[in-house]
Amino acid sequence: MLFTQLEFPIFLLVVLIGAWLCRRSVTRNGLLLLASYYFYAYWDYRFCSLLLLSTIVDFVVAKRIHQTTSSTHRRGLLLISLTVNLGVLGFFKYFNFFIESAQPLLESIGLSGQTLQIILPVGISFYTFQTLSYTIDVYRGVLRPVDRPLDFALYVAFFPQLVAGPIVRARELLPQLASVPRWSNRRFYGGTQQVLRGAVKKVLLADRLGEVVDVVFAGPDLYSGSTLWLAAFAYAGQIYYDFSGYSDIAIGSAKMLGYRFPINFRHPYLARSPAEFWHRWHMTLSRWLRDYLYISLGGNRIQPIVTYRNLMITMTLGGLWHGAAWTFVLWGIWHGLALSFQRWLSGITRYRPPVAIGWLITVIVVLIGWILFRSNQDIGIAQTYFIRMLTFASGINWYPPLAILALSCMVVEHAAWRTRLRRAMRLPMHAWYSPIATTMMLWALLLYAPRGFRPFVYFQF
Amino acid sequence: MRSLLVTWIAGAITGTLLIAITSPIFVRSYQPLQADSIRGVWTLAPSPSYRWRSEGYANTTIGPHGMPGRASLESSSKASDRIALWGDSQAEGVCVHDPDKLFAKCEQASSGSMAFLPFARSGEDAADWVTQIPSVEEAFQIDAHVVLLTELSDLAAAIQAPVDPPSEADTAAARSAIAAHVPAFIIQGARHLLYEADNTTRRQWRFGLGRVESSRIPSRHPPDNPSESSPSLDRKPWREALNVLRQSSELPVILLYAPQLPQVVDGNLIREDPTADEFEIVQSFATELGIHVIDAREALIASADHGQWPHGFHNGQFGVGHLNARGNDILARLTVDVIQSIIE
Repeated sequence: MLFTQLEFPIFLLVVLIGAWLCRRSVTRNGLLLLASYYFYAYWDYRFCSLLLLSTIVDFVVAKRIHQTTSSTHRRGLLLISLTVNLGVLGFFKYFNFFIESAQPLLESIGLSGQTLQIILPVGISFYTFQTLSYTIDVYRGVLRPVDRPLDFALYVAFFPQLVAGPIVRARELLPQLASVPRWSNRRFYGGTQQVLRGAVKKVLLADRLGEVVDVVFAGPDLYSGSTLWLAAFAYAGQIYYDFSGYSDIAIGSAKMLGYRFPINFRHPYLARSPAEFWHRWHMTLSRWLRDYLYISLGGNRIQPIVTYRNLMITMTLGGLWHGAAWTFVLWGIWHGLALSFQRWLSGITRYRPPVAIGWLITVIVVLIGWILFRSNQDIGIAQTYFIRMLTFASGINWYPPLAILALSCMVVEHAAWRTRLRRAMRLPMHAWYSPIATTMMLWALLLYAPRGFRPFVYFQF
Repeated sequence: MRSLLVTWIAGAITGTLLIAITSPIFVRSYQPLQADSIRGVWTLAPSPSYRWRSEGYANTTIGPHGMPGRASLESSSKASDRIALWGDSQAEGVCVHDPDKLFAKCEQASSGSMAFLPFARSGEDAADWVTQIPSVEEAFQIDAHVVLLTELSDLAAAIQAPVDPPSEADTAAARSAIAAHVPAFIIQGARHLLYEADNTTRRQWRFGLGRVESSRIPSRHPPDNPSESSPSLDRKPWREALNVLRQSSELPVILLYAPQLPQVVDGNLIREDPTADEFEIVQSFATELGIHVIDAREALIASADHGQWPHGFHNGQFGVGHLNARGNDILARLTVDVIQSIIE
């Protein structure tokens, strides 16, 4: 089920009523688990088995790791979890990519690689990382394994974060699931506002920008350089509002149920350096990659050259996590290079560029990255796009007013966040303007949403 | 608690009022319809401002007999010929302002020596046109007919003429009653809630479990044979259709063929007319029957080649959609040249 489907508010309402009527955490968690599996099965019931497999393996493995003192045995158990989780992810997400990429090599030795018709299970990258974090935390001794399998199953499958995050860590959610949360008017209201805000971001801003992006990226050789610039900014806006809108709905839904999720975005386009960008963009993935990959590789504790290597490996794999295509890999490499360069520069000089210059450079770096990211998994498209954009080539001059309006909203929203308006933008319950703004947002969703189905961008990951 | 409730009720009313006031910027009109006694069809009721918003942001004056953009039947004293303009939404042109509509551009191109009466209406085809032509000719002293044809299938419908006259039992009557009494933004909201994106299919609610078909897996590779995906037109009874059109009037009839070319489809520029073969057949039969044919394809493509796209708008997409002011200008010049040569 998609958050933007009209069925979702009905589903959420039923779940909210049921959950808040439950007095015991066991019944509440049971109900939420049932709802979460229904939420996933609504898309395709067959893939619930993968969810179940991941749950059972990590629950059992984590328990055994905790009970075992032998480090070899513990390592072996961790390896089982990694093999099962990454094996499933690798097969469903990367099998065809590796076969296609290895095709020339296979042909040169007289073999032919056959790709398969594989459906990518929605959310597999997200819940795999989530379950892995639990097992690794238990292995590292920073988390005690949970006693109730029901709680763990709900942690893995909890519907608000199941298909596209935020990637919630076990130590953040499991303690909350141990008891029934206390009702709070304020928290519930905050959750509804956040859900509404997320829907507005996704439907009114991201989808509107997506209309331009889809057309221009489908045939960049037809459009003028200025239109290509506009579409590149539009994609920056689309992916931000799409994903942060999704995160808002997820966090808001959890809040309405009484649970707290970590934030995922903090106005990333205000970042003044590539490193700051990653502290503001998809924050739960950034910290996952930092804690479970970058630090595991040695982080920045060894020589500078090893740090650069670790940054490059982390960002390249982070790129590959987003999708099985070389454009995603290049996107990861690009950001890895930017982070390494920034680190190298700060190591050789104390000079810090003025805020505006830092911000501008970061925007350009991010924008170039987004063009790679959006190039329909075709490096040729990215190449054409860059050349035509930078040479301001002639072509169709297309400046859709609603997309420009949506981009203006992004600029205003980012600017306002830096001011005292930040609190007002959350529409406090007792503020006189909140009901007016809320009503207008509801009407706007009904009247001005682009027609037609447009899934969340991050669903494909 | 009570004051909070009052604040929220007052706020909800204020918010709705603000939406009602600002909605004309983004929401199209829902105009009541009227059964036109002369034309024998449902037409838009006269209105000073009919809004269209999905393409072009234009406001249209609806004149007598549902004529879009023409406020009255009066024409300039110079106008010696009265030409009826038929077609579908492309000729109706509610997405461009009144001076940019096809009929207005034709009048400009003729320097006012001809009066064009726009009878084109969205969704109509040759069955509707041939039904209306005799009565319109008689009532408005018409000297010639111009039929804008953007899809050949619209012409084939001529054999289904005559169409039934308007009746109170029509869904159009019910819709008209709603449009007359309910604000446009409420109608729009209800339509979005009750209908799918095509605005005709009732929304289906689904709460059952799902299963994704593997055939729906998106492919990175284009289809092996692109020609398989190009639209094909079944062999149509062109001669019969043209005969019906010819017999509907003894006056000169001009077929203005202007398909959506060039077109941008999935990032590709389409310059070839997929119904070119059929059009050749239509053209030869039409010539036999004394129907004049204008082929606008080359002029439309040439304009796009010079960076002036005849179809599409900034708030739509260029190379897709309806004729814009430039497209209407091209067609008007071609049309007036031919009419002048016929009448002279």
